[in-house]
Amino acid sequence: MKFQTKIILAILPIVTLAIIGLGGWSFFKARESIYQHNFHYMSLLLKETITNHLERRLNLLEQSKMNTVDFFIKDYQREALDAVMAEHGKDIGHFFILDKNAQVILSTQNHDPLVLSTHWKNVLNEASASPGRVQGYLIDSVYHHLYVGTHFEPWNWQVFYIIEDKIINESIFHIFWGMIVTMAICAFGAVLTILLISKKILVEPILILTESASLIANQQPIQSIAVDSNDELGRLARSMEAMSKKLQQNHEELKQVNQELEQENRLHRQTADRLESLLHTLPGITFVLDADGRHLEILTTEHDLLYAEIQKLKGQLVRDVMPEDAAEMIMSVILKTVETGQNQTVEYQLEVPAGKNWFEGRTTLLEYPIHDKKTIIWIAQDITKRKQLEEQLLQSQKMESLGIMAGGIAHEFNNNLGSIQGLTELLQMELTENKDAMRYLESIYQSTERGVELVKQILTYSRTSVLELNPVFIAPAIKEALKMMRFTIPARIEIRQNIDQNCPPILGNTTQIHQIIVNLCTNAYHAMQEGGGVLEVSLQKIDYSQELRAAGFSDKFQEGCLHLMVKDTGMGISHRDQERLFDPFFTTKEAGKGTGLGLSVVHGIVESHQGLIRVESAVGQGATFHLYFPVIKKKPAASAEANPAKSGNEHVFIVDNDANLVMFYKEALARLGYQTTVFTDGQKALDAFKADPDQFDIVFTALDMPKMTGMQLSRKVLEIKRDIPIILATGLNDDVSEKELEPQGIHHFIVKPVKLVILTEIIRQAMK
Amino acid sequence: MARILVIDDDDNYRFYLKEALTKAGYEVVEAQDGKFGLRFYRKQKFDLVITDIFMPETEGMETILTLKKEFPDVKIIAVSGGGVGGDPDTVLVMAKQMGAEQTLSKPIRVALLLETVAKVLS
Repeated sequence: MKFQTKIILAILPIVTLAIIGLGGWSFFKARESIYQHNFHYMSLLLKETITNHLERRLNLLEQSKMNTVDFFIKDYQREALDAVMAEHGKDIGHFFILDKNAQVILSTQNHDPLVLSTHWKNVLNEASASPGRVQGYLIDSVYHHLYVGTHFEPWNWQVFYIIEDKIINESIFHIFWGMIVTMAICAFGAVLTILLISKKILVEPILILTESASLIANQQPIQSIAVDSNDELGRLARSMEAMSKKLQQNHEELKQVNQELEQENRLHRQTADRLESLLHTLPGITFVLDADGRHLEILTTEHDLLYAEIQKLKGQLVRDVMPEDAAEMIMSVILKTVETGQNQTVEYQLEVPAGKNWFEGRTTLLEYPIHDKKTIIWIAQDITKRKQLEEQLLQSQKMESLGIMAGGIAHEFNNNLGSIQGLTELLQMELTENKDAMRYLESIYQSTERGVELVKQILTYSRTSVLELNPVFIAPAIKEALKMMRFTIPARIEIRQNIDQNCPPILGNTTQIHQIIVNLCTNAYHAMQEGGGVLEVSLQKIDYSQELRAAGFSDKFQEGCLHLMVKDTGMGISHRDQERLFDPFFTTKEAGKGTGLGLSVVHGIVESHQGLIRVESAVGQGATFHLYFPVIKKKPAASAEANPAKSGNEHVFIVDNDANLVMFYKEALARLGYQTTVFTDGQKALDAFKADPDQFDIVFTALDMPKMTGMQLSRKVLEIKRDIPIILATGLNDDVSEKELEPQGIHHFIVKPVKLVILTEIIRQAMK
Repeated sequence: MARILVIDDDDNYRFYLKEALTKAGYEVVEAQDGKFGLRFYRKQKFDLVITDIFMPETEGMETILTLKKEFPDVKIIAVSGGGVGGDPDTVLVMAKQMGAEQTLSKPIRVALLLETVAKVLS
């Protein structure tokens, strides 16, 4: 039910009652006043009638002094009565006159005055009994009258004037109905007013408030509620505004918190997703282990890296399923993780179905224990390959550093050994007579000879990275080398050779191919030294095929390859030794017999020739070395001989304030084929460079120069021509380091006094 | 008899060269560095110069080049056992390009030394 209906239902009876009450009261008041008015009117009429008709007659009687004469009295009385009678008709009322005996002597009512009811008579008697004027109502079953009476003493008459109530009532009823209508209109008006007012001051605000409330409920922002009254509704509106504001604020806060939560949630989901994907893509194995070493969970896609099947491992303790030493190591790492709470990393080797693999174990302690026991995650990754690579890297690093040292070693040793050897020879010439001394000196000479050999090997090894390669036919070089070897190797070792002279050229260096044959054949000879045997050397061309590709031959073997095989029937090489075969200084020969460099030199040469080397051997079954060199399309150049000097044809821009030095550089480099432009002054040099920067390929400048230093010059030169290689010559005492020079774009430096060999080597490196 | 200037920074090796050559009857003057060598040669000519390449101050390459420039008739044998940045073969090829008549790779046998010296002097 609507609020307004309720109001109306509540107010209507009250209004109705009030109106009825008010109407009734007004009606009766009105009737009363009408009555009063009528009584007044009736009194006046009565008085006038008495004055006009009765008192006039009485006066006439008195004036005529006949007021004692009954007849006249009676006559005048009659006349008076007739006059009153005549008077009647003008008015709505009726006159009654009663004599002293209360007999009705006049009635203007057309009915017989004698039939007046007893009640009437009583009233009239009562009225006549009291002196003065009387008034009142005469009510019986038929009539309802107003009456006014007065006592006319002289004649002892009671004169009444009555008006039938009906007549009054008629007008009263008009009033009554008028009032009813008015009241109805008033009631209607009141209801309407109430409705309007209630609508204005109650319903509308309530509707607004309701709307606002629903807005608030719908989380819509509310600035203000259009209820400005100062009453409860107004206050309600204000508190609703405040509430809305607060709600809005809360809502905003909630929204923000919600957003943050959502964001966090999303992040969590992403993290979870990532972690899950990670776990699935993670190479290796993820173990979940408790502090006792119990396998709680194992995740992996590489089952052959597990030491047992997952099902067999789950729920088992590490020490129950793993070898004792491995279990002990793993448990100690678990305990360390649990005790310190810090991640642990451990490398270990384990026998798994995939082989004897290396693993890297990384542990982390979980924040929330599983089954109330501290739990860790152990991620095991197969690092066997990395280990192998590390070993290879180590080996190549060793080789590289050996290469760098080689020149220096050679220089020192050749001087030392050279002077020992030379002086020994001279001593031998002096002591030809003394046989013992000659033997001792021969021994000294042989010992130094071994040292000389070692230096030669080192040098060959270091040269592998320096020498230039040219298209060459290697068959003649091999034949030549074998011819030489025949003189060294005793006859009890048979040398068989099968060299295909029609083999195509490779990109190589005949000196080094020669060295390969010497080294491999020397090794073979040593392997067969005791029992003799057969040394077989062959060279054949192999076409490129799918088999080769599958065997690890890359595209550079596209044109086919030359297969050089050196085979012996000696003692063979154990698998263990095969792993380290190419390590520098690795040797199985007795101390003092081998340098340990032979095979690493071979290895280095093969590598620099872009070739491959494979060993096939078993203990007691001889050894076979297979060397493969990629064939090139190009025909070898007319002068196949490599030029070992570091010559070039670049245009070198040289600046040094030492004029003699500059002239030396100019002429020396010119002899090696370089073009040169030299300056002894930095500024002049810079001007010349600016004039035509494109003709210069490389800059070689001293650091310490007056006016403009080499560093300043280099910077300016680099501004003009970025990327131009710069070699800076510094003195031993100049306080500059590569670290300072690198960011400036200066990548090469050389310590003075500059050696030509080193300078050309650095030019070659810089021009690469 | 021919006069030979031996330039080498290694005292022992220079001693060996000097001894071997002196025993063979040559007159030998020693210099321990290219700078001294040049100074000596400018004072009085020699029939032959035997110079090492890698030396601390003035190196062999510069010595050969300067000598050849100043005295085009000078005869030079370069000897080397290699050094940082180069093996003897490379170094000696370069020395030949600088103008050396002959080169010898250390260590040098007495016979080879004398044979080469004789060849260059003839």
